[in-house]
Amino acid sequence: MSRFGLLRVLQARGKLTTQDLGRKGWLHLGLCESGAADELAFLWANHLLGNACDAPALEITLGQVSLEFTLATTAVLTGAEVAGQLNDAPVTSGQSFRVAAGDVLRLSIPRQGVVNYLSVQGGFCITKVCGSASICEREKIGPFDGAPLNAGDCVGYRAPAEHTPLRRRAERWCMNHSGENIPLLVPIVESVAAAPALHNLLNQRFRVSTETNRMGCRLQGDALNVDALAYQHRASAGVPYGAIQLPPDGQPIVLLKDRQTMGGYPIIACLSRWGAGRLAQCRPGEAVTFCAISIAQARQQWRDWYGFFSNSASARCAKYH
Amino acid sequence: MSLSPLNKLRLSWHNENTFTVTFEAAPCVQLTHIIAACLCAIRQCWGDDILDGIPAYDSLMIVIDPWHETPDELAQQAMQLCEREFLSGAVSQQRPSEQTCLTLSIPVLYHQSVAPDLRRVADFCGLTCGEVVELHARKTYTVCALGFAPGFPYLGFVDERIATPRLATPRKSVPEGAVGIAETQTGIYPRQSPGGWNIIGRTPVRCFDVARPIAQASLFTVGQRVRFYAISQAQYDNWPADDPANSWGGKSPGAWAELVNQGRR
Repeated sequence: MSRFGLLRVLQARGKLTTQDLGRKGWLHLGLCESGAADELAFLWANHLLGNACDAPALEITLGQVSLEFTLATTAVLTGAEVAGQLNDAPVTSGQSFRVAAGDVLRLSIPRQGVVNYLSVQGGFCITKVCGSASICEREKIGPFDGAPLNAGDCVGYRAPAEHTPLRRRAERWCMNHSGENIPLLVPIVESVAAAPALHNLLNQRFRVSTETNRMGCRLQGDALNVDALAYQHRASAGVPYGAIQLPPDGQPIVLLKDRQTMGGYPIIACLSRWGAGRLAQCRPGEAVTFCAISIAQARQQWRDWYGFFSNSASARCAKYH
Repeated sequence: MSLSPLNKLRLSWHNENTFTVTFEAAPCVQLTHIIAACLCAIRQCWGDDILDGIPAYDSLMIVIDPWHETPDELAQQAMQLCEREFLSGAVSQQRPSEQTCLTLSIPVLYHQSVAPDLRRVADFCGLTCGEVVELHARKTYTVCALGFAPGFPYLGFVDERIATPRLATPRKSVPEGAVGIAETQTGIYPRQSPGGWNIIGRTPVRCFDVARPIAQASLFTVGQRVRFYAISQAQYDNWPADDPANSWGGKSPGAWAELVNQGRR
């Protein structure tokens, strides 16, 4: 019988949620997708431990947590550049490490980036709600009653039968956590009303506003203009991941994993899936620029990455979920 | 009915695996039924390769498995499928589910204690509160979209005599079950949330519950027909917690039909 360990939250000043690759097949009922804000960093965490690619992990927003392990295992931290310590020893992002019973992991505020993923060998044991271990705070749906974890909360994991070898992510795979040149897809059927706004979107530097969260990222810059006609008689429609919405004030909002399923504002373009993950790592005040890529490029990028993660010891992410 | 076969459809890709088919026609009940039928047909055609679909007033968003080998082909064929549905739906001028779909009847307590905007709506429309209630409960509505919050049904369309604009400032909190009007739409708040619709009543029925199986989590599906009927305070207070609409687990379809018929009286 395998033994069961707990990760106990001693302190959580940043935000702590459990995440996986999100809910599929619920959008038509108005339930949002959720899932890891930075999918790539999440996939790396599981990859380095030999886990299934969608094994639930802990998403830590802006660090500042203390977490105690009650049972020996192997763990890894990926995502934002953060100073972490296991007891007194420094922990490097992208490098798996052994944990002994009673060890405490502490994170400060990240130097760059926003979210980190903490995963353990085998993944955390979390009861799925609507097919996913993701906590959606906005909808109050998911495990832990859909609320972020607080001091005193515990997340379970199984003791591995044998420890997986320690692995580190090669230097060449180091994440780009800057907001420069985030890939964006220009709509193929370009609406005339959106053309000037698109031009301005691609040719200026924005700042991430403080009103940014898992639902969406608000950008501040020179106002983009959409023909006023676009706002009239526009019926609400489905909102895709990474959609760049333009409200009448001309300040774009990029919709992320916890976005609402329907929206009424015009959508002028959309980030690629990796692009949206990169934007989720941008801090309030940080500069952001976009670069246009083709949908074929975006698809190739997606396949390359998922092909890479599927080749690991983990089960192939054949079906996306 | 304003649909004509001359209306156009437009396909636009958003990201790697998400596209939208937009129907260039004014939203109407007939269009809602056509779009619901399109989603059904697309799911039947491609099964698990369709991860998600969001039907809305005049559009259908589709999310496909990013591993699908020929996404552009799929989208083109889906578009043609939509065109066929649209042409036959627009020509026949009939609502497909009118004959095949049971009408869902939702009990509502229309009383000022739970309807803070009933008086306001009445004043705005130049009617009495009783007339507002009667007009609201007289019509059969169609679920045109689900969204905003999980399980929130956008119901089209109310009698124009009771169409009322949203509140200038949304309320910070609207209780679960609140029945509201916004312009020509009516809807039910499936849970406590902020909201700007005019609240004219409250239902004891639970509209959305993730504890139910997925097919039954939401009481409503797009294209579903819905009526409201007035209940008394006593009926509201004593509404059974094991109402088929409140706990579907193990309930026979008969119990469900009973609820439907009860409302049909």
